[in-house]
Amino acid sequence: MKKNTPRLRTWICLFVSSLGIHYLMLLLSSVLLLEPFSLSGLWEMTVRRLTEPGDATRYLDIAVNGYVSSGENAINLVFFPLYPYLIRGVGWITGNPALSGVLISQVCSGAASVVLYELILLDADQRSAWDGVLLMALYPFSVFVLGVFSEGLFLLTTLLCLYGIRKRRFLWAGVAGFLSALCRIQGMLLLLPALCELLLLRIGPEKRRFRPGDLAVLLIPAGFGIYLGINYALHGNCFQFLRYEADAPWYQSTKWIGENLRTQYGLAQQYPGLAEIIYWPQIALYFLVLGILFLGLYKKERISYLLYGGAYLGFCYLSGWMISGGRYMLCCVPVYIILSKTKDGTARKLLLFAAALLCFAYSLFYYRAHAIM
Amino acid sequence: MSELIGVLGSAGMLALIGTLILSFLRKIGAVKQDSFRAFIRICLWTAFTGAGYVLFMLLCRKTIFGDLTGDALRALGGGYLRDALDGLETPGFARPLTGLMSWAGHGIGKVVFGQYRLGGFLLSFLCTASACLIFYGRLKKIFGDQAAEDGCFLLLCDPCAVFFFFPCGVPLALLIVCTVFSLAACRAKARTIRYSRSLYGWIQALSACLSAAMACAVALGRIG
Repeated sequence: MKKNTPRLRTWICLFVSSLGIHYLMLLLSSVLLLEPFSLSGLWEMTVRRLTEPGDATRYLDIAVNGYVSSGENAINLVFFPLYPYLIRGVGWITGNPALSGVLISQVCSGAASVVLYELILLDADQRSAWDGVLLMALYPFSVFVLGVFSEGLFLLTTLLCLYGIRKRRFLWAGVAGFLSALCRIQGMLLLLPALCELLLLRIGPEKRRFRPGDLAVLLIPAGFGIYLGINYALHGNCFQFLRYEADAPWYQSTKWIGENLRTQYGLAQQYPGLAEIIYWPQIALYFLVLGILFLGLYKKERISYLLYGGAYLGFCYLSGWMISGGRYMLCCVPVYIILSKTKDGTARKLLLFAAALLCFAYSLFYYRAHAIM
Repeated sequence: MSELIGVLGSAGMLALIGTLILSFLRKIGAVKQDSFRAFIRICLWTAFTGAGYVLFMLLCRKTIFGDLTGDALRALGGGYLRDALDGLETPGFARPLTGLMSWAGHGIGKVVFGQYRLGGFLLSFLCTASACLIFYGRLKKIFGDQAAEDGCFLLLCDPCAVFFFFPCGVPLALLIVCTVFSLAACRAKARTIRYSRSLYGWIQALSACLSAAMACAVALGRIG
């Protein structure tokens, strides 16, 4: 225990500081927004903004009532089961689903910071690892890790999977990937880095033979398979969720990236009030993440991370009616890994400065109930 | 502006996919480091010259005719490009090479969610880049790196080079010609070639001017 105390201390620091940044932004936002400021006003704003907007009510409905096959809440099927059913499980202890949702989200995001730190530490120094954690905490749309949203849980399961892959513990990676795929559809994409690393082990310099444990990576698609099974059990159609997504209120479709970016631009012109909140950030994030991935290629970052990052970016931006692109890209973890290894001191400082400003701005807009979802 | 964002976004993603695949192949030893570098270099040259021609044609069209409203791509290139673009939507075999490219472009377009033009231009880019790579590789073996680079640039600046980027039979013809050249010259021995760098510069500049004139003529509908 004594030997691990410094490490444990670091983990606690990471956990507390990654959440602390968000609590600080919440407090500062409330001071700016509430006139007059009061603790009751702060509490009311916190409860309202963390448990009521966007998908939060739907997760809570699934947690309380489960999936239903008919009625207006049948469309909740589009939300993957891990997070809401975890809320239900923790809700048996707390007696309050909203509180459970917030606890799970925040604990998972804090833990995700620890895992990201350890992941970066495998290839870089402590300073880079800290920078990576800070960048994730200061991502402009990271406010969602505080509320009843699946981002915290998805980040944790994704990072655990990537860590397991890197440590060649494919059983752990498979289990984490399974949970990730049960949390969000993008979890399926973890199969790509898993297969990449397995192939590199076999064909690369190590020439390691395949082991039975390597088959555990197939747990990743199995997670998605379970979700398809839920679709089938409720509606007799494995892809019922796609039908619901194509309908109100999401109107989702799959279109080529170029077309979707053109649509985003058109919507920014059509709805100037939403342009800086939704559409311009989504367009900017696409090119920013693309640029960062090319930077990773140039700096010879691990190919499995880059494959995952590219697949994640492409998958998200194939969405024909995207209004939550900022939130989706929070979980594109290769971005933090690549940027954390910036050697230039000035560039690092400017990056953290810009990230902090944008994170505060969008957190403030979120607490002010702008259409950030 | 929206078209530009869409084109840049599409091109960026396709470039990322291509580079990631090549990087992975290099990592597992299926592609050598030199070949990888050469391929990236050639692709960048091809992409830049292609983008250069398109922007140049748009500039000519906008300056002389005043606006680029509507389908800017169809407005460029007169009847020849319009026929090529139409061929991507409903491919045929009226001209063999163009027909083949149309069908292949149409097929690629189906993969990218019905973006047939994207499929067509991607195919023409791949054909042109592959042709340049083959040409570069053969010249490098015979005359060395510098001569290969010069030869490749000259190919991309030749007076008819604008057609290498159209979704028609020309890129495929270029690929065939370069492949035949490479096979024919496969037994040629390595030799040193000496030529004046300034003379080469003049030739390249002259060729680029002629290709600009050709591209302008195409943009204004004087050809095709």
